[in-house]
Amino acid sequence: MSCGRWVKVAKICGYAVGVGNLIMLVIGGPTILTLGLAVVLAPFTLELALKLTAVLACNLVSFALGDCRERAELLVCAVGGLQPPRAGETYREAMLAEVSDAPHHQVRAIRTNLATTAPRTILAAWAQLPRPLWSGPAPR
Amino acid sequence: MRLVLEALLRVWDDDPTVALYGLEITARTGLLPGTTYPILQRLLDHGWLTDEWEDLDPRQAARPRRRYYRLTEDGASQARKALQDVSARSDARRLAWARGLDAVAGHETT
Repeated sequence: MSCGRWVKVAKICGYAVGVGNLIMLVIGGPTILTLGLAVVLAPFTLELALKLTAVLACNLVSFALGDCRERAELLVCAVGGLQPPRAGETYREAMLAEVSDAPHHQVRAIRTNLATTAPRTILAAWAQLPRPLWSGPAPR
Repeated sequence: MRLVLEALLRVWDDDPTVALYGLEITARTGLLPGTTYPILQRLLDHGWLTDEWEDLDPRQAARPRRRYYRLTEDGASQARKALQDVSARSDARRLAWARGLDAVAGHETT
């Protein structure tokens, strides 16, 4: 495994522990362990907390005030925000262009499709597993 | 994957220099952008596609830049081969299915 891949794995583990610790802090209350972990994992927890807050705020505003296209655009921003920085930025810019160019009658379908495919897109962006393009047995 | 590759190959066969952006691909395949994006990303990762961003200032144009995709020469030949394999595989499956049906029908009549 390359050095870059290890760094990514470490970062994902950091995020996972950070989120776990945030939950423990909220549910279990501050203990020496959780507070100590919170200090050590501050960069991860803080960044994640800020991202989550931003995403939640964006979604709330968009669903309250926006029209269908704006909702789709904000969904794109949210999905992009949950991906690693570079992949997220690329996704956001590419998909915003598509949403803004899409005919009005298609926007709702696109939004639903973006929402249903979001978990897979986010996971794929974080994991970056080398999957073969074609699977299954060779033709006999 | 098959629909996307077929659409890109059709364009490549007409003119290898033409690139399509996401919405044009979705219009040709009938798939939606959320579905095609991961497919295009995987094809890019495997080097079957190249991408380029539209040369445009988003502020002046008041719209985001489009991301254009085009098959590479290697990607086009691999895609053609993969589509042939898929087609052969589905033909074989159809044949096996028909043979199975014949065998069942023969067994029932005897």
